[in-house]
Amino acid sequence: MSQISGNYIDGDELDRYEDAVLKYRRGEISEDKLMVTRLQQGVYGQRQDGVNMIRIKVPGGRLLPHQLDSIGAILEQYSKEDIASITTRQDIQLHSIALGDTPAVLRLLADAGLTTREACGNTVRNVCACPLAGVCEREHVDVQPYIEQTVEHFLRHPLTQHMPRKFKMSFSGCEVDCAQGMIHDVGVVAVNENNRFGFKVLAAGGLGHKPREAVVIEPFIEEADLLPVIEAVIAVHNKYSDRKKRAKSRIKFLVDRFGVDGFLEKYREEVKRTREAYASRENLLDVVWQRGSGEGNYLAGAPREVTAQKQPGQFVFPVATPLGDVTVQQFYGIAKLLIDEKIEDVRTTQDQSLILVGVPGHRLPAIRAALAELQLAEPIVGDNVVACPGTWTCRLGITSSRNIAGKITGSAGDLSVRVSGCQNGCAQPTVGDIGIHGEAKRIHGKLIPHYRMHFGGDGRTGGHIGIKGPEIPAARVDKAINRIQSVFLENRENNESFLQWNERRAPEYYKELLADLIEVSANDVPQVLKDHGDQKDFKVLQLGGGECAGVSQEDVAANFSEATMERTYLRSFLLARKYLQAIDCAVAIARLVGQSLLRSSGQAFNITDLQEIAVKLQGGLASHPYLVEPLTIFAGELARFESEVDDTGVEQINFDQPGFERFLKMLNGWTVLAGHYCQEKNPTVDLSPSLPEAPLTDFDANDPLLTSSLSTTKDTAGAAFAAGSTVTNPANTGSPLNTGS
Amino acid sequence: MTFVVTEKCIRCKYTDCVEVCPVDCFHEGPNFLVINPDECIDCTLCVPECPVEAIYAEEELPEEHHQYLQLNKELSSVWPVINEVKLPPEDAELWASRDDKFQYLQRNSQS
Repeated sequence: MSQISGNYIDGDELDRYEDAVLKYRRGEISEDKLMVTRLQQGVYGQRQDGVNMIRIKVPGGRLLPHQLDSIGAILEQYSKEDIASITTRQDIQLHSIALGDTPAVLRLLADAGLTTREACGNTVRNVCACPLAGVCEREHVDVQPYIEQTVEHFLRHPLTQHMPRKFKMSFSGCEVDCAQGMIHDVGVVAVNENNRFGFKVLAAGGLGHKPREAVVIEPFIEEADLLPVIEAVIAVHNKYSDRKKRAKSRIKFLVDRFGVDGFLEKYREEVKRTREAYASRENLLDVVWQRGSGEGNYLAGAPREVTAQKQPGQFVFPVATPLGDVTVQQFYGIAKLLIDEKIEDVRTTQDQSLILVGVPGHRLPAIRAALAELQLAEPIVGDNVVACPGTWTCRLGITSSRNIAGKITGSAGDLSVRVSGCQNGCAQPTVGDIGIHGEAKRIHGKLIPHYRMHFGGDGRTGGHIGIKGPEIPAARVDKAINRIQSVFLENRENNESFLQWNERRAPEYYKELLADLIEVSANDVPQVLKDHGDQKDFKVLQLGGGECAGVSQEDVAANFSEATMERTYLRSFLLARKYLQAIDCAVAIARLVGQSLLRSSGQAFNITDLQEIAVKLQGGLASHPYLVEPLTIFAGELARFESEVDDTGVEQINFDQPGFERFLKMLNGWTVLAGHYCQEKNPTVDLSPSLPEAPLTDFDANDPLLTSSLSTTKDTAGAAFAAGSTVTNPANTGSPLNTGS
Repeated sequence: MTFVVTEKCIRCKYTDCVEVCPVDCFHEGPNFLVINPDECIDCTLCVPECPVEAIYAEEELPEEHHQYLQLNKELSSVWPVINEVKLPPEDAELWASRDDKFQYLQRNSQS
């Protein structure tokens, strides 16, 4: 069984975050600018002003005992709440932390080896795993090493810094797919096909409004192929997902737009490139595969009882933490217990609970007793109820999901019940036996809190998104859930599961069964006006939706990020002497940066031809010839290089590689100058991580290409180059173009 | 902020949006729908529903549709709430691809 080994922390980054918070508090930077930095570091705004939610990423859900201790200490010292929450994506969230305290909290988390980087915003979010990875008899492989490899690869990766929208992934160790790849942007499933081990890969699934089941993009790939395949899906997302309409920018909408075949075609174009670019790298991990059975009726989410591991004499001990709540004393107590018992593997699950892994059989009673002292125990029948924070802390919440969740159970049938406070699906209501999400309906002129019901969802292989049920006033939804469970328990055949029973039901069935609870007469209004836990009549606060950066700025930042990636690919292709592909990368860089200049100077930017971009820039950016002129020259030079290679793009005797290298230095120099211009026009985003390093010293002032560009634009260009270089090197007073030569 | 229904909805009036609105803030006129800006919570759900892409976030509202911000505010205070899907006008499809439809906007059923 592997342990967490990844080091995802960057201390300098935390210094920069602290600096941004200080500057904001002194009024030196805007709220928007702080927000971009804040979201990147996993710090969200709350409904309540001045305090923040901090989301700790837990890759694969795996924690070490001392980390629980650290979280407990942070919770005690900095949070205004008594509890932290385990989420359905296996994160741990701290709530109500004063903004001024957030840098200290991030540092303490880093000291414990925990990161919040890219836990929010349009990034690759926490990577989920099947709960029994590494200990399950069914699995072919422990997916955790692959999760860690994936997290390390994509964290701070240029392609993932300015995606159109967030990106979620899951990994499962066998075909059952308990991690529910179906509902993820990418789902990776270990498989055994014709006695070969590898992965099946799903993509473009998602929950929330317009839930969609993922499509299979690769029925079987070798393990070395995993990163290129995932990277290709992210490239498709970056290139094609709608950046203008946030509501349509998750990757699932591309399947609507292009159709499954069209989506696959776009994916294949990208994966061809990433595979070639990665061909020279070795991605194999030191991992043992074995033939697991790959079947069985395992639960999605988490085990509900003590379960034997494939390691003889060892057991998984599940600990119920209703609604994901864990108190300070429980964090401390569990940590101490595990350290005393020398148990090193504790996990968060997609059911908002904890599991202890590697418990020796003879210690089970002692563990049980020790947990009881912390008011903790194994799950009991009926307590499989999951809820998001809802109107407790979340800016998007419509109803108080936690209050109603506290009043309902999964009944004697131990159904999974999932409660979301809005349509965004954080409690995953469309993949529970019974799920509900909060909304408001205007009836008889009054706004009445309601829940939309969902039935029979299952995110594992062979399952599907649940069927949509009726909308019920919040005040009656507990009755509705009870009634359905009673009817199910009385009428089910041969002890069948709710999922099986539901397969024979249509939405109309539930509508009839619940008709009296759905109907609101004028006389009923006073009884249904309040949400659970509220004294006052229901009201939905206008808090301005989710937090995200402005569109224009993101467009520019995304282009520069993509250009960074193209530079990486370009190097790989050059190493492999794939000149045609390398030239394509250079064309892409010139295009992406050129488009950013168009966007930043307020022009239409959806032009792809370099010459055309140059012409447009001559109109709109005439005052900055040093940014415009090189592009015309680049277009000509790139055409010349292209003419030196044939269609196969492989090694050509007459390819002018030294000339190409010299050209690339110029392209980098121009990219930096363009970056400075765009940064000035888009102050909220930080382009510096996406600019090539120290390129100005690579400039050769005597380069004939450059001098021809300078001579055509005379003094203005020279002055502009000087201005550009002083940004990089303020001490430089000599010629800006040959400081390194 | 709020979301804003624009010109493309005029004479099309597909009502897919009203079904998903979690706060029932759509109001219905004779041949157009509007959003009450004081009740919209910026949840974005209506945007992908609209078959003619008539709905924009206020901050993403194209220059040429700017007047619709005020129009949504004004008309939502007089038109009734609509929260159930109904059939679109028979000729909705013909109008879906037309531009310059402001001239056809009916403010009340008499006009």
